[in-house]
Amino acid sequence: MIKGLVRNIVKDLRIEFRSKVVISLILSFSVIVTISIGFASGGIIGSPMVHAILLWVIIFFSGMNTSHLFYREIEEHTALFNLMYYSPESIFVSKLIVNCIIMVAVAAIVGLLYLFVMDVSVYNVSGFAIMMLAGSSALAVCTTIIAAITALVQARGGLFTILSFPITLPIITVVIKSTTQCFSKEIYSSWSAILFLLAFSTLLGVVSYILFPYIWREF
Amino acid sequence: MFTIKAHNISKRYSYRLFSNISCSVSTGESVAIVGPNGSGKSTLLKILGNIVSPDSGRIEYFENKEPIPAHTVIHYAGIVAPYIQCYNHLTLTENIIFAFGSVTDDAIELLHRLDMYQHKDKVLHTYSTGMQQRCKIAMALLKKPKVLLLDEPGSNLDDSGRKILFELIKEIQPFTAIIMATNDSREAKLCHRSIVLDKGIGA
Amino acid sequence: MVLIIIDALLMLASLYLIYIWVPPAAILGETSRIVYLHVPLAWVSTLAFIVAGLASIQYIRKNAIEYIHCARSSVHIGFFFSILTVITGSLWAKVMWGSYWNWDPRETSITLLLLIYIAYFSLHQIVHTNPKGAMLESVYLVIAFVASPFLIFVVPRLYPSLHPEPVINTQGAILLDTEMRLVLIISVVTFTLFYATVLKLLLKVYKLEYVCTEDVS
Repeated sequence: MIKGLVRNIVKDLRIEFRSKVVISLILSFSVIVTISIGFASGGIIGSPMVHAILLWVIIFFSGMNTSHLFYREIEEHTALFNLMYYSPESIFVSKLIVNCIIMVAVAAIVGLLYLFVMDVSVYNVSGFAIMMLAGSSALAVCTTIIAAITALVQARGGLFTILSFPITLPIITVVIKSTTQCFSKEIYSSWSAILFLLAFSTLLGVVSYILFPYIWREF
Repeated sequence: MFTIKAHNISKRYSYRLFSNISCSVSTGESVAIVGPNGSGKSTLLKILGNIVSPDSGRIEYFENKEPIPAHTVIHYAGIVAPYIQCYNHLTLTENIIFAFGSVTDDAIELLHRLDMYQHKDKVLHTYSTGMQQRCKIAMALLKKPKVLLLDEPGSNLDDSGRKILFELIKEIQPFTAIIMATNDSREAKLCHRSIVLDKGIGA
Repeated sequence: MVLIIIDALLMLASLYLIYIWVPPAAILGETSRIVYLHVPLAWVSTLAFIVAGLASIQYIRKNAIEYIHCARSSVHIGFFFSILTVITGSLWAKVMWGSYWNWDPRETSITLLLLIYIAYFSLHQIVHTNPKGAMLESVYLVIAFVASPFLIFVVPRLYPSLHPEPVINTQGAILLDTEMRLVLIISVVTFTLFYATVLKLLLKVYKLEYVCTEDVS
């Protein structure tokens, strides 16, 4: 299991490093959206709430290209090849980890760019950093199985958003609330939010882990 | 000793492919599945390898007479088929390391025999389809499979490639259960027995 | 057939009870009668979702086509019931709270349920010709089912509620009136039976459709 996990992660990262499909799609999407929001608003919007919402909406929609991680295996007929050597569970967990890495990277880049373009001041820097990290990895964990489903029906993008929105809404609501507080002068503790994200993503992660072998077959 | 026993399996997609097929294959035996296009050769092969489940009927797998769960069969199987590909963005060496952890002496010898050794550090999408077929054969055989599922194994291979393939199949035959779906009578002759699916497309 | 007749009689009886027999609630006045529709509708939308979720789990475990038919039918019914819940709810909200939509927690929950139903339909439209479609639908529904307690109990708690407590609202103290409670219970039972009847009919339709496609090939 561990062997399969490590080899799959190395393989996925190496392929991603060579083809750059997912990361370029996600980055160009998120950067373009962030900058166009900056252009459109001219830096006028002021409310911390609005900033938090915009920031997380950008990150959420950037995530829809992560289904390419699974789609690539199907399109290139490597899914069965992979299954010949490793269990579906280790494939799932490795994709989940790669997905997390990508989403955290995206959150970091989009977050910094957003702060820069929109001139937002962060009062609680550590809280904000933790929220970006926890929120984006929770999003990644909960949407990995959706990414697999959309990859299997080869209707990515739109379907991914439709399917993942109702499920990730708790995450989005909670992180928007906490991020708003980081942008304003209120003193707050992010522990309850983090605990919630942890509980929710663990639950969905475990259920996805159990269900994944049922869909990742018959290629 | 690895045994596959199939009882009365049927499969339909939008039309009925085949029904009530029973067969049994053990280590040391080889079976060719032959028939016209659309008769369900690949599907039967996939069903026997538990890659696709049948609509009715059941398949049992035994290792040393002990029944083993169906979903583990793929760990015993080596597959060479058009619907399976090695990772195109990796080199052959990287593919081998991905699957087995390291490039062993066996692997080097096999690559030499398949005439692939000098190409082993090129990324796979630069290969021709025949060379990719050789890679698939190498990857399947290196696994030392208990059951070998071959779907048109000779496709895209030139004469020398086919000759090597036939030699390799003959060498591995005593230790492996081989199931081969093929249109090529030379390939079918390598096998001890054959299953003939006689209805063509949409019948 | 017996079920249909019983349910039809019960439906007539509850209509009589709701609109004629039961006295209007003290403060809410005549508008309070909508509660006897709104609450059962909301209850059935939730019940349909639970049934669909459980059926999907069973489908994944047993891989028998009846379960996926059950899940699909239940989602269909639940979808219409949740739309009706939203309509009756917002009409009432207009009268009681002054606007059709207030982002009240219960309103948010039912909207989320509606979104899940819509997502399921989108997925169904795309995958129904796919041999793996039924499994994909079931897996999605199970994921949504597992996430739903968070959607229904946690997210809404982040906003203050206008709805009267307790959770399945029985109008709190105002409705303690025995007559009203009785009517509400009868109405809930009637609608649950109605749900069961429609579910049974839909299951029959699905079965016939399935048998037909089997025969054609």
